[in-house]
Amino acid sequence: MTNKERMLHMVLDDKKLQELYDYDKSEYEDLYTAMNSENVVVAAVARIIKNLDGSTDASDQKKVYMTVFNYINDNYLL
Amino acid sequence: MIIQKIEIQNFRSYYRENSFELINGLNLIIGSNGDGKTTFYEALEWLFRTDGTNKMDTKYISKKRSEELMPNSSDDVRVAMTYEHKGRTKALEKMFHFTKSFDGEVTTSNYTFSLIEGYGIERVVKDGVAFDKDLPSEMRKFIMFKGEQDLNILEKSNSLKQLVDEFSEVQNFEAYFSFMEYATKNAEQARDNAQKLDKKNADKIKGLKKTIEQEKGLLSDIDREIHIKEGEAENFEGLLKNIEQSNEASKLLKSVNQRIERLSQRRSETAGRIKENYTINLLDDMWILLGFVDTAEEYSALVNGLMNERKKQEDQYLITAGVEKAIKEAERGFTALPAHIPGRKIMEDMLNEEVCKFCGRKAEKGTEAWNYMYERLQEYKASLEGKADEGIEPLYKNNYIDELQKRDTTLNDNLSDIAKMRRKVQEAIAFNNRLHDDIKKIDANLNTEFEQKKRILAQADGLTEEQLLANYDNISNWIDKKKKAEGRIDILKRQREQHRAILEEAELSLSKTSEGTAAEMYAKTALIIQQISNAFKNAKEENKRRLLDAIEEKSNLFLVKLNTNDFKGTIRIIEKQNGQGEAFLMNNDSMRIFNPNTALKTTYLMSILFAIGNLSAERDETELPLLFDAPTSSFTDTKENEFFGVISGLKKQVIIVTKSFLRDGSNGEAILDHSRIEDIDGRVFRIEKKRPFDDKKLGTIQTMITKVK
Repeated sequence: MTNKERMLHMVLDDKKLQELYDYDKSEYEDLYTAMNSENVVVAAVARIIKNLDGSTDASDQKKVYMTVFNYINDNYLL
Repeated sequence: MIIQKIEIQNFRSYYRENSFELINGLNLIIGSNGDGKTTFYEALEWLFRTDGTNKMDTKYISKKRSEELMPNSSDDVRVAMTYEHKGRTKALEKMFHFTKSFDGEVTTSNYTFSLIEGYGIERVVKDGVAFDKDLPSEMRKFIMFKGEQDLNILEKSNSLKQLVDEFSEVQNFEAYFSFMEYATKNAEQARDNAQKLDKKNADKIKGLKKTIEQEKGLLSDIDREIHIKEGEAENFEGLLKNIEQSNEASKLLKSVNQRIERLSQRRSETAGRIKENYTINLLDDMWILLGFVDTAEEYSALVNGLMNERKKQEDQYLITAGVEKAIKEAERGFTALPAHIPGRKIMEDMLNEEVCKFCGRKAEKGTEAWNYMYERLQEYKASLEGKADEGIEPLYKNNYIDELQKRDTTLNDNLSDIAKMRRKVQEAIAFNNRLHDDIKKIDANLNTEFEQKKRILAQADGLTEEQLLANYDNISNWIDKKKKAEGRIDILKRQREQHRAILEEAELSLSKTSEGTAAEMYAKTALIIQQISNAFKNAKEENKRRLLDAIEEKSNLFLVKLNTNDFKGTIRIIEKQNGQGEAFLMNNDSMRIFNPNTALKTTYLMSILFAIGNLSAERDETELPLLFDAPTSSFTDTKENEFFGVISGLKKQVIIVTKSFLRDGSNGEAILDHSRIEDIDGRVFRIEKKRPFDDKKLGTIQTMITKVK
């Protein structure tokens, strides 16, 4: 298991997030599955972890933010 | 990483070329004081230094080698390590050249630091700094330890953060945490921009934003105060724990001090009552006369002798003179005693009794009869005097002997005073002696108390007398302050929950306010990003907690192995309020064990190191070696054998430089105890000074290496 996958599991383990967005964390063993999840929050978390790739560079942060922001905007059903 | 070989050339006591071929397991390098143990450790410290400092220094050069060098000739100082890391063999080499000039001065040059990978044509030489990739410099404090006091890695600042960075289940949370703050801020900004267009709900949005801002401010204040109060409570807790540890000592010390004060006061009073100004007494109180009693007695005896002699001579003289007089009287005719005089004694009685004893009649005083008797007595006395005057000349015409006798009488009177004085003097001296005895007893008691005080202070864990007494005075004060801080924390935490709920509600309301408007999606996105951000924050804390739990769990497994037949307790690892880690032992009643014995402390701290090494292997799929300089100096032989037995079973490379397994030989030399070495499962080297050597000449010192096992 990679560091990113371990991070994904630990973030998805958050009780409040599970409660609010109703997902089963055990369904997301790897990043690929999480990124393709129908649950927008799960997919957004996976995108953050994968795309940021541990960078602290401002341009990388901006790029990842735009990706995640647009993804949620485009996919979250009100 | 497995260290296969270490080469040390001309590095201090390591003269010319020396090498240690190591195994993946326990490696013991045994040497006595001054045999080169610490030099071995320092050679590796120098080799691992990648920060560019301490490159070349003449202090590293073997004195023996530099002294034997011919003028204008040179040699190298070199430390190298061959190791296997992730399936590849590499060599790290650091060296410099040194040259001796004609005037004997030694200079250094040509420093090189290289990491060599591969062999033959595939050999690649890199800057030695690249070694940081295999063993990051911040990791070295988790693998190299000098002495027992160096083992508590959690005491070192920033260690917990480094542990989390290096060994936690999930690494690099910081970058994501930082990103989530950035994303939340931008998403909120986007939401705010979109909501500005919503004129209908403008006032409601404004009110909610104000509420959110206020709540965030309040939460920030509450968090800050909680942090401060937790710090205070932790501080007082620590102080009270220290007091708890030293409370008994504080009480004892206070009581000892009180006794010392009382005894000192008594001593001072007793000493004040001693009056030993005997010089003054000698003259003012005439004590000096005591020394003249014998002289006075001798004088008295002499005077008595004189008196007796005079009487004897006078008696003899009177007899002789009396005979002569009687003869003359006879020649002249006898003097008849008046017939009417009955004798002086009878006459005096008759006068006194006022009666005539011849006729029996009364003769009261003043009567004719009484006056008659009186006149007759006077006549008789006068007749006697007249005869005496006319009598014999005295033998001693002067009164010198009488004078001497008078003085003797005076002296005798004084002697009776001196006898009284003697008693006084004896009493005074006896009194003073009693006081001296009392002082001796007080001093003995004082000594006992001072010894007790010394023992208390010697075992007070470095606390001074002032600190111990202050602790005693402060205990109730600190308990109050700790309770107060904890009480405040409870209130603040309740307030925080309330304000978090208000904030959450306000944020939700703000999001909902935009429902049906163009800003709805932006508001929802901002909310989701906020919630994901919180999840990352919680995950980061969870990651740290899991790491500490994992270290704790593994440490306790090692602790059991390292203390098979001893009390061990349970290791607990916590994060303190200041962000530093803390490891300690707990009893089964959840009470903290203060001051475990040194061997137990060493084993529990080593257990933590082994646990970290184990975690490192799990995370990185490579074990790091552990290098200890004299870690077992507090162990007994049995404990040491157990300890090394456990380490050799760990399947981990551990290099220990130690003076264990040595015993004194008949010539005072340290001899290797081969019977104990037999039990060691690992590689053993003996290092020792080449003999003979001059104990005052460093240039004769050379470390010899022998592979024993």
